[in-house]
Amino acid sequence: MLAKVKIVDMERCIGCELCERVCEFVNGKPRARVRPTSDGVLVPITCLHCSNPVCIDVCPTGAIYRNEDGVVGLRQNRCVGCKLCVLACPMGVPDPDPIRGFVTKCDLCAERASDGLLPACVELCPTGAIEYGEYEDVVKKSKSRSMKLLRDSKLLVKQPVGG
Amino acid sequence: MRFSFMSGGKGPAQGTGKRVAVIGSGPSGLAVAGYLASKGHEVTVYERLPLPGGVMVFGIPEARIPRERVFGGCKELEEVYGVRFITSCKVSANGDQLLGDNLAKDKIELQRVIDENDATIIATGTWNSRGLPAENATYKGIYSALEYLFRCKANEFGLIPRKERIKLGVNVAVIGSGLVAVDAAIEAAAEGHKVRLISIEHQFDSPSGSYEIGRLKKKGVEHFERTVIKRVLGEGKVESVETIKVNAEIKAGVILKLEQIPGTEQIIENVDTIIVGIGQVPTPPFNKEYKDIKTLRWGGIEVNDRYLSSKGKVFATGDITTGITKVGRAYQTGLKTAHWVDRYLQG
Repeated sequence: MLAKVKIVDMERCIGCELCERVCEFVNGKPRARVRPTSDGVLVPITCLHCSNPVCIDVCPTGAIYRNEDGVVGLRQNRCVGCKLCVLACPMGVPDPDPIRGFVTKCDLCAERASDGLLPACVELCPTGAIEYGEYEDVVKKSKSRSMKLLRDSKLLVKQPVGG
Repeated sequence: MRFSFMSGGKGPAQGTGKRVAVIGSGPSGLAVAGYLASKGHEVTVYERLPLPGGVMVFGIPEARIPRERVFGGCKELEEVYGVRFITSCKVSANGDQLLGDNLAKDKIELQRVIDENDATIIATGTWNSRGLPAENATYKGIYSALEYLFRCKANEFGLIPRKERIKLGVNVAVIGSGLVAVDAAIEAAAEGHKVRLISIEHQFDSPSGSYEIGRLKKKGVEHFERTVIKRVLGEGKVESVETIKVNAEIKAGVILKLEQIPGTEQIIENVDTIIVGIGQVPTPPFNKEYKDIKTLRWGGIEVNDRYLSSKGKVFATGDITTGITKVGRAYQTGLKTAHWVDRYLQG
């Protein structure tokens, strides 16, 4: 079962690029990228550590793995740079590095995690849009938050069922 | 925001005994302070305003960045890492009088700060706004967007009385389509004014992104695109503006070519206030040049690739070296600087 999850609350994200920039500082190459959608909304594109990751299924060398915390990581020494994971990922998250010959992807700051630290983007997001924690806590939090948003927007009007 | 993310709030490394002064507590200043405090240096942050956070608190609206997160990070730095925050204290060496300088109670000479510390990092950012490039730009009723936002926030914090807020007229024209201009337009629209947005950029190549402009339009803001103000009309006070359409070539937010189209002049009647948000200029604590610290032509401080200025042990970081950027990039510059400062201090 998934232990830890990371989600991005798009209601709170302001597209300030801090996650991208701090990731570049910590990991050398940004593993989160803030890009505009066709509507012009700035969205951080980053690995969501899916429940059913297709990148693990397609990886021919077994370089992509999932550890006991639920983190989908990458062993760079096993990666051959075939880029199948880039094609398979619905968001195109893995970032091929043509010079060094392997892809890079978010591993929720594995080096920092071994020192008992949280991922850098989670620590520094100025709006708290990046939620990270135990699966149940995060889901509960995000559900209660979306209910509150619905209530505030008055979309939920008390109506008889079927009316 | 946990500025001390390098050590995750667990307290500083073994003390090195080196003293570091950071001038300015915006995103880049706090990045430097957090990184160096984690490494065990003794950090003092000088801030001219009564509260830390800089533009993150006094410019960007609460709806975007919740202040509590910024203050929480500062509090942790202060309590766990022993960073000294000296607020309401302006570090100066005959620099320009800036927005909100009247809130600073103390004054300290830049030379004294440099002498007392092993390294000094200047992170004062961009607080001067560019003026309106039009005729009669000195008329009453023309304000900069940053000043408008700053006074709104300062009033919300109870730092200035309500009468010192900028009173806008009924009809407001906001110039520019960057995030500062957009925030000012949102604030003015929320106060119930009729807002018009005038910018060179089209909705789809504006620096703030088409979503922000689209959201403004939904709030009833009228957007005049590919338009510049040619002349401000009125008698000593703004009454209406004469605009002209332009042809512009914009690539990745940079205006490459700009030419006015003759015969497309248009007069917009009933403009009471103009808010100008067309960019900001770096504001170092000194004017033009200070001893060996050189500035570049556009006002930024000259630094090498290790963010060391032309005078030894003085570093500069943030928007003052790069020009105005987003929070993220300013923070990254701060982290890179802090890395080099740490290397410099460790020898």
